[in-house]
Amino acid sequence: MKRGAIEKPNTEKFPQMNRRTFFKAGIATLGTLIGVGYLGSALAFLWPASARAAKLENVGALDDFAPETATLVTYHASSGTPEGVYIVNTAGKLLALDFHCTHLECAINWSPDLKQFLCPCHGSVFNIEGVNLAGPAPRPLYRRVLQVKGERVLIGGRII
Amino acid sequence: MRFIEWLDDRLQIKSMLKDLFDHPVPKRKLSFLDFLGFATAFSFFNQAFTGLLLATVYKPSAKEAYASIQGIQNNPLEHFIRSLHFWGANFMVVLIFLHILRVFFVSAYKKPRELTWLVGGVLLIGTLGLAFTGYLLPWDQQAYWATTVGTAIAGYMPVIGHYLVSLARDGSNVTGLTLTRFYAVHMLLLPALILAAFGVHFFLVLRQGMSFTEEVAKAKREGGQVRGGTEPFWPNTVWKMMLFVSLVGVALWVLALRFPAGLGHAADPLNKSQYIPEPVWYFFSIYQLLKYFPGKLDVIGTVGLPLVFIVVLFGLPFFDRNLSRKVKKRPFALGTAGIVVVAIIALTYIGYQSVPKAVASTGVKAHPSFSGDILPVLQSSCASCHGSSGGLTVTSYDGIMHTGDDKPVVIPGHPTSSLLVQKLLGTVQPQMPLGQNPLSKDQIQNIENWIKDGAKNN
Repeated sequence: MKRGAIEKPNTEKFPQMNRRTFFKAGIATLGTLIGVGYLGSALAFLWPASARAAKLENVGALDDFAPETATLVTYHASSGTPEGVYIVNTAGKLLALDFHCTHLECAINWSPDLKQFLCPCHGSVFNIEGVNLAGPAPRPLYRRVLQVKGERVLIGGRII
Repeated sequence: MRFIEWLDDRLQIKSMLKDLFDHPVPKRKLSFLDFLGFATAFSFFNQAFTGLLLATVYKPSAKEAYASIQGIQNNPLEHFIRSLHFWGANFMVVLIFLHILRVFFVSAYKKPRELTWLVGGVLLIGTLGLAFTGYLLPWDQQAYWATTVGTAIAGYMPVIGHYLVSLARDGSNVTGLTLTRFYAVHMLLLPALILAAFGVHFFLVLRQGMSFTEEVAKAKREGGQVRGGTEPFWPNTVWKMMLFVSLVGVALWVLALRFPAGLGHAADPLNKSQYIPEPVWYFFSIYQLLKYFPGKLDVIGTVGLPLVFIVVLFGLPFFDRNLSRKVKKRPFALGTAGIVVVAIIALTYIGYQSVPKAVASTGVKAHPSFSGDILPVLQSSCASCHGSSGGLTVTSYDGIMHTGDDKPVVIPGHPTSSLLVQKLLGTVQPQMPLGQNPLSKDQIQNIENWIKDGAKNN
């Protein structure tokens, strides 16, 4: 080949691809990537932190929770807004139950006489372990992470 | 108008305005119902204007929101602006629904106006979204618990339900994070969406003209005249529109002055006062409908019906292949719509009636009457469970005297041995109303006096 001659593009390998289409495809790809980048980072930005990873918070000592009863405690860590949690001491173990009914999330009340949780909105009833017994609630009460460290009782985020 | 000339020199706006505004309208067909869309737009601009003002004094955080609304309530002018915003929201929801009904009734969604209808669907969803997100911002008990229940409904969506709920709330419960999120959606996302969609919607309407103006074009093609004659869209029709919208504006101002927006107790996420949430009035029909789908069927009411609504809303111009615009030739479409509208009104009414309302204390009466003193108390405090289920039915005299698993619950002349009284006092457990505050001493005493008197149906 002579010096200075322009080499012809290899059109045999990519018959459709000339410089113009190559640039068009490149620019379209770049534009799409930027768009996906915005969309993806928006989703990641708005996605809530994992409930399990929520900070553990001290809600009392072991002695505060008498056997076979439920005690309402408050959890603040995730946002500063108090969240109601029932600590239940039953059958020798401690449970942390979210105090929202699983039907439409009205606040449930503990009835010490019945040893049951009652929802004032549509009459759902849960036993001391949070199992749904009656009413429209479709599942047991949500549980939250609970750890005992020495004498201290710590609770964390909701376990779905 | 030298300015118009100046502008026209550069932008050729005269020809554009002529295209958009200068067309004849059949006089006979013109109805103020054709201006409902314009009135909806007016109520949106009322919301934008008052919302902008409120945003200068509102503090969108869980710690300060309620106090900042209290501040607004204590300043007469700020309170009036909030009342305008509150009533404007109601107006916008009502007007957009009436507008949709009118468009449906006159078949204005049919070819060539399918796109206008679809963009209108986006506007409807944006409007309901604004109403829902705005409801939380005062951060009072009603706001907090209605939002808790409202967002919980999304949890019924199969597979992705939990993600949707935590995405909406920014966590597993409604917290200050939710408030900030709703504020951003209410202030930026949805207004931007509505403005964009409204721009397209309005352009399409001007470009195509209102559907009844087609009659003029048809008559012109056939070389005839429209029956009843025509009037020019600008200025005649436009001024009539302005009159209608002004009347809507006056109604809005009168309501805002006469019935200012209220504020409940501060949101208490621990609900120590055992507040029972109730939905805002335009969700009463769904609220009532859910009661007919007990237990596992809840998903029909929470997910199924809204989904059907959205599919019908956006699919209507494509499902409905009937090109006729005459009422008599559309028995199925109009019949179905009629049934749905009647059902929504009926459900709203029944739902509204069934909400427990605070009964004014009548004090203790020696000889209370059943209809005046006893039934209202039972209906407000007991009927939500003992209405159609729960064994005993307390909504009528016969129900109280003759139903229940342990009937009779009332023994005339013997209040203390009547199960009704024992349950209300808690001498027989569980005390009623179940899981709620007991009735007041006055209310129970009145029931005792009524039974002592012979439990008459008076």
